[in-house]
Amino acid sequence: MAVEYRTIASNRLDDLIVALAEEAQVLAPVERAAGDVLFSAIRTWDEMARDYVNTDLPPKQFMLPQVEPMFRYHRNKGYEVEPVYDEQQRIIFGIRPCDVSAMLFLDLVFSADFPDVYYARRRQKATLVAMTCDNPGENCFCTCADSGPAAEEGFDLQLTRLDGKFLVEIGSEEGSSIVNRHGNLFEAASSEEIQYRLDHEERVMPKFKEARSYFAQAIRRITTESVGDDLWHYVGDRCLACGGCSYVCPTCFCFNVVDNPNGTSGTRCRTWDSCALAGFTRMAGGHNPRKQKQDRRNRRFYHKLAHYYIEKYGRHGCVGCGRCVLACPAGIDMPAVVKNMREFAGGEGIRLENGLWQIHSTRGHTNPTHQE
Amino acid sequence: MENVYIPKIGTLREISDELADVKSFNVRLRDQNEQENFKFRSGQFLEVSVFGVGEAPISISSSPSRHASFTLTVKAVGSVTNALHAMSPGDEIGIRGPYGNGFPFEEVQGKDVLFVAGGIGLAPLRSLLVNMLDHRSDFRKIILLYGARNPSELLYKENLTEWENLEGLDLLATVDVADDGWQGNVGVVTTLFSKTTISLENCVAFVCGPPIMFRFVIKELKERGFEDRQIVSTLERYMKCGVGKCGHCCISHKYVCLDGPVFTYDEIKDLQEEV
Amino acid sequence: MRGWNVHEVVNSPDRLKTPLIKKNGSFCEATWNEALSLVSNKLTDQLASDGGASIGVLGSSRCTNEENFLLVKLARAALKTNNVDHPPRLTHAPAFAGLSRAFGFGAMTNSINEIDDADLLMVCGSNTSEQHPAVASRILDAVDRGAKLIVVGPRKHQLARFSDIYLPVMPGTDLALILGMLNVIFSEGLASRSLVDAQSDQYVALEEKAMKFAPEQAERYSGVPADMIRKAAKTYAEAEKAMIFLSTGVIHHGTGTSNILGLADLAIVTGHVGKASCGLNSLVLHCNGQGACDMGLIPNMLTGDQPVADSAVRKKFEAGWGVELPIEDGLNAYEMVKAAVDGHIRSMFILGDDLLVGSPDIKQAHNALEKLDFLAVQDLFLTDTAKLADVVLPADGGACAEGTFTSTERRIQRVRRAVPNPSGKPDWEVLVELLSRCGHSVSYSSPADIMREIAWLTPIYAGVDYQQLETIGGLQWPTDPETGRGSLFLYATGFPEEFPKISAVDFIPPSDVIDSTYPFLMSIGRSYYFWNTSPMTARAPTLRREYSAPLLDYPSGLAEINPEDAKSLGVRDGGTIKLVSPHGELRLQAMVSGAVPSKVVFVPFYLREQASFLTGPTQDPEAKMPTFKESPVRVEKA
Repeated sequence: MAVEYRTIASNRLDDLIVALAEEAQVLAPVERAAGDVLFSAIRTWDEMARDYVNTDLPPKQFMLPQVEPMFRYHRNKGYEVEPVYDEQQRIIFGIRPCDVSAMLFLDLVFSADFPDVYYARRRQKATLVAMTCDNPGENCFCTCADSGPAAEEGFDLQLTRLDGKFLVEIGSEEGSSIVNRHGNLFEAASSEEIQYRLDHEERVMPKFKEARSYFAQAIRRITTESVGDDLWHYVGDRCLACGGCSYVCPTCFCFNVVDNPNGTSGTRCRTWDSCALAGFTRMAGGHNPRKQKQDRRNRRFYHKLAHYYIEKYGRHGCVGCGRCVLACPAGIDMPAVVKNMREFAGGEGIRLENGLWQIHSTRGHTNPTHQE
Repeated sequence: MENVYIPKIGTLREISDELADVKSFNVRLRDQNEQENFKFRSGQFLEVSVFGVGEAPISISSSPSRHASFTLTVKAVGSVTNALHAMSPGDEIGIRGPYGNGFPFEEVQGKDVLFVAGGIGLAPLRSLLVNMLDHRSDFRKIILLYGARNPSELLYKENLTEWENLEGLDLLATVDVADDGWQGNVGVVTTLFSKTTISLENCVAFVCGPPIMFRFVIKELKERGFEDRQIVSTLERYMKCGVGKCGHCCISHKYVCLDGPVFTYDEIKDLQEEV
Repeated sequence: MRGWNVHEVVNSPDRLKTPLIKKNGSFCEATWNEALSLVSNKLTDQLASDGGASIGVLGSSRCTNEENFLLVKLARAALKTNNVDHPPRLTHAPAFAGLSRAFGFGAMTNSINEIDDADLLMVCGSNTSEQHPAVASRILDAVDRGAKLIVVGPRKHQLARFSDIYLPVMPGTDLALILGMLNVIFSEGLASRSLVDAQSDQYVALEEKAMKFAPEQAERYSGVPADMIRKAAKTYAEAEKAMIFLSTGVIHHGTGTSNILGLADLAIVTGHVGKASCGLNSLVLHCNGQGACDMGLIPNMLTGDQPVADSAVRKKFEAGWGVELPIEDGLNAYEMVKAAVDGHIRSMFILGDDLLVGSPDIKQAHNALEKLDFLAVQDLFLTDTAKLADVVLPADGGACAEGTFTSTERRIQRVRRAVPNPSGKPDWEVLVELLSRCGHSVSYSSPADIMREIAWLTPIYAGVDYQQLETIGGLQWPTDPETGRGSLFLYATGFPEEFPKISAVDFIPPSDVIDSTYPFLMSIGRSYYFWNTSPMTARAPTLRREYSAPLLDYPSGLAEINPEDAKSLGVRDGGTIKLVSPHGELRLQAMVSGAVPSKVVFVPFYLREQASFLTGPTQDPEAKMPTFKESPVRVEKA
């Protein structure tokens, strides 16, 4: 469908939020104590965070919660099993383009092969109102992953800040329906206003920290398996196996399944899991194909970057949101590892001598994951 | 949309002790319709739930040609399998599946079939073997080379006796270490290769057993000229969903639960990860 | 990883929801009224019959400051006892004692942020990556930016692999290494006189002792090659901004306090303290270990390092609380257990500590608790300790608590309730009620009120209030009540006359010496997935899966052993070995690891239960704490 545009005055946004909050739970970035920004339910525009880059936890938490009950079971004469479904209608307001891209990635994962009904139901009840980015954050690299600074698809509505108002792009029937339902709040968009939105990427690009990125090169190296073992060993040695990268990553979806019994009845739940953890691949007999941390790190970056997945899903496994940069305590986030793949992929310059790491960088770095 | 995570209920009928830590469970789905419509291929597996404990992937060891019930041969290694071992006939379990790709069956009709099994590796292969024996005329020569550490660790002893005397099957068994009663071959399973004739042309080898046996058997087969795509095996991984979602069974870009667990050797030999 | 999965603990169905009273050997649910009545009656009866000395109170390094403060008040004001402690202090008492003696405050001299500007970081006895990942992360960032890293310790752990200089010191010989380094510093004229007068007795004494301890002698005791000692000493002394970090690896010895004092001397004579990014920093293991000490959960201290023995201090508290306070010396946690066995302590109240699992001698602790006439336990779960209690009260835990924690860098921070408490009653209210029922009424409308009182009575917390904490996001003591500012590092405006103090301690070779009968040293240390006593991690499915990893690979428990030693014993990875000491023997499976030096076996903390049978009864004389760290053993293939 051809994109339609409207505008909404900034001082009418509160009316919109109030109205939407009657129809569904409106989740928007809210600033909490100590400066955390997290998606929380709001009823007014005032509650929403003003100058945020992005939330600390990705919106996947609403499609794939950290702990999700799947079914309850109980035993009468025999076992009976009832699925547990979430019926909440949600409007995710202020979702960033990178997270929209991530959501589309997850949509593909969860609808492939055996469609996941829990994800599908939550997703179907979720409306995405995106907000384009005017100022990239320090750690953002969405442009490398083709997922920003504005979304091209996947949103129901997308807002772009203008002067005293917002340009509204309608991206779906649901988006159209919202605009129609609250028609009194929206106005037509002029051709200048639309052009402003079309110029958005050009305008924002120069503000990114890095003029170039080595993302494409990293994808090539990983896909052709030309990253040396020493580098993975180094990355694995720095890794604390905390799992943080997976938890904050908007495209990570691996989960563990646990039964919580209560006598002869109970609930089966799924919870976030991480391939960083040793137990992720350990089998009951004790055999663990990825016992070494370097193998697990290798796996993570393969899964995020290898071309195979780009082919299979048509999208990048990493959307450049930069959350791993903040989350990782060991300095081996995506940008850092991409950089050091460039520098040390050949395997030279990194060596373990007498059990101590020796780094010899031709570019004068004392450490391959050092950020320039 | 079907909820693939909701198990059907199965009832344990007979439980037999196979080895010290291995039992076979004969199961029928509680709902008669479900049991009647229960179809699977050899090499596929089920996600078996012990409610309150968890779920584990277990391959089906009975043949798809036998319909009234199905059999799971289970070694007690973890919480779910140990819980299963503590159950009695009449107890209920959860069943999801069948999942996985299964062994090629129709595709190998008209060929010679060589089975090489070690220890409990015979369990998933038995499903295929019995199915082939039930359709004997569709296959040419069928050979089973089976080895275990010692006579007490040979699985399916009743079947073995039956198969020894079966005309359409060449069965050779061996043990690493014999006991007083053992009359047969002594040595690892690769020592059986020289005791039978295998013609390379139009032959498929199905191999299943512990990793170290697997390595030596592959070596033996390659030395005899088998091509990688003529060798078929089945992989095991930690699984939590069986439907390609939870991510645990991923090897490179393959899911063992979707693209496997049955793989030809050429599909897995280059995988970066340890098999 | 523990933090990312804490939701599993908070939401565990095992959380205690109602008070429990033991009747005829099994627990029955009770109302708060019934439970608190029983507790207060029993404790006050005990006070009346045998006096405060027969009562013991144990708090926790995981409770908020406000809760611990109320507990201290309960013990001292209501129950008239100085038998007040928190068992995890066992691991840090020598550090607090040492830091206090050298610098006047029992805490880190610096802040974690200062790592960013340091030129040199020296990490001693700390597997930082595993136990303090947030600090390790900053250290690695600093190394990335060009800072030098010296790591000291018997085990080549994760952080060690990124060091510039690694000193593989034999367990129990840190002071020998330090003296060797001091020798080099004095000989090469690298000592600074900026902090201490070179003519003073203490300086002269230290120089004399150091000059007699050449690096070659240090090598003989510590196993660290003399040339590396020289290199480390020079690198440390010549750096402009040098910070030392230490943890249980250095503290946990019969000579723990001496080790700290030795490190303090090192910092003092090189001028590396009292300036930005310079100092000596002990990393406390628990979220509120520092706070627990600050609140006076110590037998001979009131809040903020104010001694009970000081009459002016006592008068101040007595005026503030309106009661007379007990003067008799109190017993520490370890001594309380012995006293319970001897029948001197008859009743105990334990808040948030699974004493049984954390004890150096579990059999003794078990006997002690069983012998008590009355035991009340307040905790999140029905722990092993709670199971022995007469009354069990449900506790808050981190996610439900409203109050403050004080971090290892002296930072007082607000803790806000994230999840409602399943029992409906916050800990601080429970303690207020208990105080009233025990005859000492108090009135607070919120934890903020409690902090106001703490601040008023505690000079280093002067002026701290919640409003301030909200705006600033945490305040480091000692605070300046006039400016409302905290202290990034201690003594920024200069040292008072009596500090810093040089101690010039002597090196005493370990008392349990290895010899031909017991040629190995067994060292016990913490492991990644277990958090101290782990009542919480055991209940989180993801953490439990990760924790059970070592048990899957080594079902009988493990001991890390050097590959050469393994080879000469004829032992393979996973093979069973027997550790034999003068006190007992233990069978474990060998985990062959290049991280362990030769002639040392390393046993993870969670196996302490079994390993405690092997350790000797050495105590750190100053801190009166039992030694955990090293014991001579014989290793055999089993």
